Amino acid sequence: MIVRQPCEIPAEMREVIRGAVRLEWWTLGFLTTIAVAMYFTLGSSQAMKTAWVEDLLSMIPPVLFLISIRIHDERPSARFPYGKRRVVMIAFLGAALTLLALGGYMLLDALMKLAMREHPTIGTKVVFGHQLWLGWLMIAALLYSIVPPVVLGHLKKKPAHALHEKTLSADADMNKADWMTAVAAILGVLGIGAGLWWADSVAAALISADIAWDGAKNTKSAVQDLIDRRPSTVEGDERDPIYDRLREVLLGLDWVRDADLRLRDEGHVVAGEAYVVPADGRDLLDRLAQTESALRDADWRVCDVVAVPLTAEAFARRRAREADEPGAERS
Amino acid sequence: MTPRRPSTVLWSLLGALIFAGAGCQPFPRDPERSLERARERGSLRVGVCEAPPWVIREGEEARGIEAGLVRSFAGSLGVAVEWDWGSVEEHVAALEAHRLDVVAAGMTEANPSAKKIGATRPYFGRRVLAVPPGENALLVELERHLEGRRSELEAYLRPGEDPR
Repeated sequence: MIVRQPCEIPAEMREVIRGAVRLEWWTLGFLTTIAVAMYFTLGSSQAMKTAWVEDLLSMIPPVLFLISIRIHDERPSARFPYGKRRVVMIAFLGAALTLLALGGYMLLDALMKLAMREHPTIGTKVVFGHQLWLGWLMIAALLYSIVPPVVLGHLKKKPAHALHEKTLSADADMNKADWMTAVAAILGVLGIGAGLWWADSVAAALISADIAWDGAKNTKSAVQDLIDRRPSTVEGDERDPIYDRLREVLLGLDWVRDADLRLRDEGHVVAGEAYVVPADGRDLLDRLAQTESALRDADWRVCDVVAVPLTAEAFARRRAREADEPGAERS
Repeated sequence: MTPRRPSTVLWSLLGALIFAGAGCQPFPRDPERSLERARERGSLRVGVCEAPPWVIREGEEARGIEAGLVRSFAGSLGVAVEWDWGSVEEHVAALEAHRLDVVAAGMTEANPSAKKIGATRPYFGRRVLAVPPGENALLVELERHLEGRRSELEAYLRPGEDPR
């Protein structure tokens, strides 16, 4: 069995990965303290419960990230000839599905409570000899839950882009969404205090709709990545600029008359084929090997792009077929 | 093009409504105005079932520990008490329908119906009184009153020892 060359991750990227791992451990630590603080003030507010569950489930993406980052760099072997890079995409799918399933479940739960006209009851609690309305304590816990995730979410965006790491990016989005969740839950509790029994369930429904929406968006993206969509940007479905950059590199080689690529995401890295039309047949084997190393040198994310020579006619035929595809992009 | 989140528009709406609703009224308030209506009516509608020593029946009148607590609570509000004798099940249904304000039946917080109605924080051991679900002004007022009488009760009942 011939196995893939291990992809060399440059030292500065290894440093970025280490930083991201540290951030995710901090996230898990903060989420634990928040979950504990909220658990003791839960009471019967539906929105509060939803915010709490969201905090618990926002531990799943960091955990999946930490697991996948341990595995993804293992060397290709006879059993795994392509290496284990794609574990990163599975982590992303897992994180996305968690969001979708729990968001959907909590949305249904809130709508049922609304339909059954359930009136949430919030009493008092004795704190240091004072009787306080539990609602105020809930609001205090929620205010604490706003700050750390927002800061961490902001810090995660940069490494997520540098690494092309979609799990980390989805996790950062979720952290940033946490503040909205907390504000919604605060409005829900204030609503109960104002005598509006429905405010709480409405807030809970809005929070869960947001979570489910993020989950659906990310699940779609993760599934598309796993069926080998062309490389796409970390957020959204734009074509990754790496494609254009690599094509420039190919066209810049002096013996190449025309060239194009077929690429897919493999987590952080890209893999695929580079089709080149040589100007003549001289030194073809050497030139193909040079092509592959030129691509590898162009970007650290190029992992395994195989150079394939084509005649001008065969090249034209393939590209014509590609352009016939419905919804084909400019190439 | 990323489509707009389904809820972004609704956030501000919800916020505005709540602040309009909150005003500078006392906090928290009753969605069904139980406490205000008891004051307007001049009486507290109390569902009772016999459960000595908590509730003891004497004709239509109630005596016992919880009856005493309810009477002093009504006194603090400046209203009279209307006793309504029945089963716990009837009283729970009446609370849910807002036909009663308080139920005193020697219930503990472990009672399965305590989740459907507004149970107070235990006033002694695990004993609770109940109010209609979500009537948080009435609940807070009642819990304040019960807390105020805690030391008195504990002196009489010996702390930590439930006489049942």
